[in-house]
Amino acid sequence: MHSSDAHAAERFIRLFMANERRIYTYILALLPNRADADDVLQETSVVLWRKFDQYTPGTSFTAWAFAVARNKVMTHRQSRQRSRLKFDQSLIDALSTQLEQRAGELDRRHEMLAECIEKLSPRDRDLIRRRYEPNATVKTVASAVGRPVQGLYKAFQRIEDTLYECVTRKTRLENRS
Amino acid sequence: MTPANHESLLSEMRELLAALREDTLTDQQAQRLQTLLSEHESAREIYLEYANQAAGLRSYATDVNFADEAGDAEATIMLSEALLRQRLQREASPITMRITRWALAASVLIAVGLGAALWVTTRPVTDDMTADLMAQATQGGSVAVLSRAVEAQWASNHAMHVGDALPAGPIVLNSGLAQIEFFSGATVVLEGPAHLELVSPDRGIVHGGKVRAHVPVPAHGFTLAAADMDIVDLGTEFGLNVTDDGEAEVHVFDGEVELHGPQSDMPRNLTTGHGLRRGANGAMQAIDVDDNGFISAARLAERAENDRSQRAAAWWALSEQIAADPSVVLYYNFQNQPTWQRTLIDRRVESHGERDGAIVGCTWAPGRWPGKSALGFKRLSDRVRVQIDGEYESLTLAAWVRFDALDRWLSSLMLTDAWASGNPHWHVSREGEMMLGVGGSGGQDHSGRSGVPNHNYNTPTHQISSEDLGRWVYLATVYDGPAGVVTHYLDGRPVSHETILGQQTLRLGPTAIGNWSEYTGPANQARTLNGLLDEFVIFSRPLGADEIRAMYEAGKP
Repeated sequence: MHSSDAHAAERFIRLFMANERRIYTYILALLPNRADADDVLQETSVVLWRKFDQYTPGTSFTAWAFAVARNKVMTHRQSRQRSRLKFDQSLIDALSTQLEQRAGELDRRHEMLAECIEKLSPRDRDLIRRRYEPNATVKTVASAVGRPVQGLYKAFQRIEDTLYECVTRKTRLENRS
Repeated sequence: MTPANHESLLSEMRELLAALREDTLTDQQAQRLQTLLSEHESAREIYLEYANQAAGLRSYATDVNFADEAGDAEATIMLSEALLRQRLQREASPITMRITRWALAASVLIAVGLGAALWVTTRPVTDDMTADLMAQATQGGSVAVLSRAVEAQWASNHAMHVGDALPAGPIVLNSGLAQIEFFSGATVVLEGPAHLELVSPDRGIVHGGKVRAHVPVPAHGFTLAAADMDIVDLGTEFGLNVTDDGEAEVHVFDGEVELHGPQSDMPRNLTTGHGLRRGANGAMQAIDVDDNGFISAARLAERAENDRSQRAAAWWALSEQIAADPSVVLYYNFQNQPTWQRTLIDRRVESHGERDGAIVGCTWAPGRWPGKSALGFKRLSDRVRVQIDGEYESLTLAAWVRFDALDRWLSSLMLTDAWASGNPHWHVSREGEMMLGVGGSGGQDHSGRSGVPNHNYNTPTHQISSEDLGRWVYLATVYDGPAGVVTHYLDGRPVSHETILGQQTLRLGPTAIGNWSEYTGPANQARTLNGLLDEFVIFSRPLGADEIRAMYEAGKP
């Protein structure tokens, strides 16, 4: 192994990890189904690593990654999209622009999210953790915790909205101070 | 249609996004969502914020699950960055990406000294251990297992350990918290003082105290009896509080229970959010449900985590103290070692690697608590080789051991290759005796005194019984030359004292841990340890009972 390769690998991992959430948000926004988005994230990460020598250090890794992710989303949509939503080109453009502009704000929201998760009851926290495990569905969570599926649908909506509220409130407070 | 204001847009978006998340969007809803997103920047904003939240929760779940699995031997392998680069070099396959993420996260944590944070996990009993317990249980007529305990004080004749299989009979908890898993799958959390009687895998009697039961689908029909009532669970969670004066309260947190009274009248059903008090006189009265009044399994897990991380910290402190003690001859703590490395690191501060062990065979396994690792011995070839020079008037040997079986005539802990004058052989017999054999000088020495014969200093049999299999025990043996006494300790308590036959200095030289290298007899009489070692230390001085006790207390799982 060449040491320069090892160095590149390390740099790539750090950049990718630092941007993984943003990239995933982007993919999920364009392809709003978690299974689809997971697939595309994996495919995107492989392409990013293969083409890492084409990335110019000092430029925005996010922008470069978004471009690659967007291509992957397009191919994925043609082949095996699961979601019934199919956004047209102008909506995809609008979402992409808005997301790039607001990346910093969304990062702030993400930091607040950690605090808001801490405020959940242990039971809700456990539920949400299970729900966001790879390949989890409401049904798998329901059978794991022994609760009825219908009730869990409601529970997840409540938890997601609670977290959203909490994050929004905290962000507002912070902007004010 | 344009929403009137932000609030109404937000609430409409919420409904649509909830349906989108769960993939239950109707065609009409899908249409509506696309329209809102195309026409309203603030709709896109909400949409992106929810997507951002989903991405955040996804990494949260990954991180928490990673912490859970950090106790696995597999996780340890990920700690090596070298290995990680190598893998990436080959090709960044999807799986690699997932592993690298964890590996980096782990190495970062360790770099900033937060390794201990990884121990804050919730895996009380390992799978193979559960299997062992089940196997044991079917023989012993057990009905449940103690899966968690926090600051638990048991009635003196009812002391028990986490992981113990529990036979039918009373459980008396004076204070603290305990979680019991019935073999039917029902879990109950006891808050001391409490008195629960285990009857069968799907039935218990609450004689007093607070109990919270969680009953998953496979355990439906699980019944707790209190006073003269039977509470049959139809799924999934309820609390029961029985006071000294015979009053019983039932609180249904989730699902439904069926109450059977003493008379043969129709059973009453209570559903989510309903409670009932049965007075000592038998009168029934509806009450408000008090969810917070009963510790839930999740809450208990949190308490157990706190408790455990505190104790893990106490152990680290002890571990550093041992490493710095100049009287320590050798110290393996089996921690923070990459699994690919075949050297067992001697953790003494003074170590130059001269007493590092060579791992032969053996497999890494989860240790006494999540995040702690241990070395497993099973096959005839499994052992750790070490060279220990020097002569010692006294020695203290101590180890945390989990015996999976005492299926050999002798299960080796540490044996010198040779069996000559002053060579110690430390092992446990099939009958559960702790034994320290010391090779004799034989014949006569140069000054004409007659030699010392070979001798085994043993505890009585069944010190280690079948109930100790599959749980962590702390074994310590002190050979005190000047005082002329060998003392064996089990879990910090002295269990036997024996007078030393004749003055001899102890010598080790080439030595094996977990096996006897010189054994050449038939395979079925081999002496391989069948179990795990999670800490191993040799002192060149006789430790006192207080010190042994303190090491046990700081290190117990």
